[in-house]
Amino acid sequence: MDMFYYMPSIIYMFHIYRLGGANVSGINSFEIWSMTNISQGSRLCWFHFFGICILTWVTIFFVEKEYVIYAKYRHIYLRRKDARLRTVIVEGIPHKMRSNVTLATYFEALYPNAIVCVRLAQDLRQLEQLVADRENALAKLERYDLLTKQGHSRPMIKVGNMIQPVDAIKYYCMQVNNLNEAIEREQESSRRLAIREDRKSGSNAINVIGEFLHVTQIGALKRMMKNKSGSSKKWFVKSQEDDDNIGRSANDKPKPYNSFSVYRLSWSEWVWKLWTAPTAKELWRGLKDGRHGEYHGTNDERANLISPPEERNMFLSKAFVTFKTFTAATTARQVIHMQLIGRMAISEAPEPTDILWQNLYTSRTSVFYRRLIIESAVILLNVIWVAPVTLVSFVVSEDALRNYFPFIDILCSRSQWFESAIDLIQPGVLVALMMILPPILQALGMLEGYISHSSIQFRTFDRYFFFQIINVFLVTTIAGSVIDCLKEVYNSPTSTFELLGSSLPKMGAFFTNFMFIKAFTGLGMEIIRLAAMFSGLLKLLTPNLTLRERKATPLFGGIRATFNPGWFAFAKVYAQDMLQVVLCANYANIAPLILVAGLCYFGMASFIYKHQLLYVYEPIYETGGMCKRLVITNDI
Amino acid sequence: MSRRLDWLLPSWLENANAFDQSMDEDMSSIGYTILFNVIIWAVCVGFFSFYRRYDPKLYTPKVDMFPDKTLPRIPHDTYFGWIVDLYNITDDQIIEKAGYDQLFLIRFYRLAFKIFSTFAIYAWGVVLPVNR
Repeated sequence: MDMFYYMPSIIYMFHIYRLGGANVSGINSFEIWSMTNISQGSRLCWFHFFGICILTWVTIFFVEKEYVIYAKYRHIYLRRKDARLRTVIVEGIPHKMRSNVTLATYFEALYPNAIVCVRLAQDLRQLEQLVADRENALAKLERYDLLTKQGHSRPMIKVGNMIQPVDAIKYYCMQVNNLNEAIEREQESSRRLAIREDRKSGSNAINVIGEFLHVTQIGALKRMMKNKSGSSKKWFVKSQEDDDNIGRSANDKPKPYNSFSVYRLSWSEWVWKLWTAPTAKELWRGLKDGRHGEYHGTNDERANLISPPEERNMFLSKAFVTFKTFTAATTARQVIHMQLIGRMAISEAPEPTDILWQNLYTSRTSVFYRRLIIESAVILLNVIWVAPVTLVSFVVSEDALRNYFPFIDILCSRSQWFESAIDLIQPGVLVALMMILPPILQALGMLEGYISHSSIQFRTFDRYFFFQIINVFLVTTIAGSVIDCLKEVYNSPTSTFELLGSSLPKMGAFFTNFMFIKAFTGLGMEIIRLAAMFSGLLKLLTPNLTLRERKATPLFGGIRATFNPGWFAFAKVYAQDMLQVVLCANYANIAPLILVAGLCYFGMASFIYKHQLLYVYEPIYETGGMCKRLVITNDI
Repeated sequence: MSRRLDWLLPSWLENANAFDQSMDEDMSSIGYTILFNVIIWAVCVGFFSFYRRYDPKLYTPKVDMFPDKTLPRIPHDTYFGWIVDLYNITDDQIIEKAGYDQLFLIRFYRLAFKIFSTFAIYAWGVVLPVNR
């Protein structure tokens, strides 16, 4: 089966090899050892064809062996007793089911005695904002305190519209105290809100789930649940004595939501709602939902599960459910819980340190549109990457610099060394331009709404790898932009083989050089942590930093202290090293000398990264090697 | 086609020469590259071997940050003894102290090394003489 998948690539490689090596005159000392030295259509090309077959077979052989080891380790990982492995994340929870009790009752009915706990994600943006404000106030307080201790006069600041400045330290002390109290109040109120919602929905949980299971036509389960009435009580979080604090009796019945049409707004209500929207966000929500915000069609399933607007948004549509056994969690992940696409979708939960909490607020609809926009943006970025590269060549190429600055021209004409140094500016800026790509792609992943760092890393790897194949490997080989290549292929599709066949061998020496630089200089810089040393030096040279500021990582984590290396950028390193694999695989037959550079690189990288991963980089998450499958797929 | 794509990017912003790389690199240029880069590599490894003995926090920050998730520091007795000690760390120790994701990254390099070193027998034994 594997060979079947490889057939297209073998046919493709065969065409390239058949057409390769057209230029037999004027070859240099490297090309003598490469396929360029063989005339077009020569029978000797069969050796290269057999070579690619052997390489394919060797790859399959070792990948298969690696998969066996991967499966062994994966089984060991999954057999661990971690709660994380038995926890799932539920997304797209219908509004009426958004309480711990209702959800727990639902899962208890489907998976009897298999639930450990259910935690519905709560909207805590207010609390998060207060905590962020407190952090800012503390940072300022520490800064002013440090200045005072260093002998400066007592700092004074102007606050708001006050004419007289006030003592900064006293002001921020007061701010921190106020925020401490506000945070405490907010925490308490959020906790009460959650308990109240659980109590309120507790008595109604059976009915809600009954409707839910009825409309999904699992009537037998409904009857079973009726018999289990009262089982929801065990999911109440607090005891009876909390009722007074909560300010609402547990016996209070929630309003019956038996009429769907009640929740549709009239025109006047809708206009009034927009007019009186307290924040821009509310206004946007009103506009987005429209007058029919609560009405999405005539589907009974959806209509039965809709809550009135005033009860929405206190809980999010995502929850974490921990099962007692891995089997139950796996079953829950594979079962379709709702007919509506995307509702009650269950998947493996990321580790707590892996979760990007701010993205839990993003709804699935929003994620869909974001994904659409960002995928389009990434494709566009691939196509128009030539524009910034061209602009760089306009501004910092040797010719441009000599034209703009006459003194550079004079110095260049007098000194060969200076000219060489000026000539290095353009490639340097291009490398810097490439360096900013992984952070940009990661930021796009965050905007896209992925809920874990690991999934952002996987997506970034995919995109960065694809980007490098297009804009580093193919474009450098053909020496034209993506648009040029597309035009060429469009005008003459059969010329693709000739284009690659004639272009690939010529770039063998360039890529061999590139791989030697990566192997020796790249890995040498990695082991001495040169970038971290520069970054740490910047911090050290900045005077008067408080401990908090010293630990801070500005510029998206780009500048950090040497003792705080941060986590390992898997996406960037994997994608860059996959390019090395692609280069080796492509040139192993065309210019076999590239394998010297490749073996140096892979041999040393396995050793140096072993040290770095064990002793330097901070582990942020553990996916049990999920990335391995992605990488091997791209490898193949 | 060209007219259809021109709206996307004006031709003055599409200078293909910006990507152009030298195709004239020969064995001497590769030799210089190797020489220059091996010198840099030797300086880096030498500096690491020397300086790690005096500032272990710079090269093993994880030991201080996560003492329970890291192996003890490699002894500082000799300059290049760390190479042998590092080589002797097993996969199980990597899993225990670094994690599965980290182990699979290291195994990715080993896999690539195995594939290309095996193929190198054919590439250098057959293809290279054929090309010559």
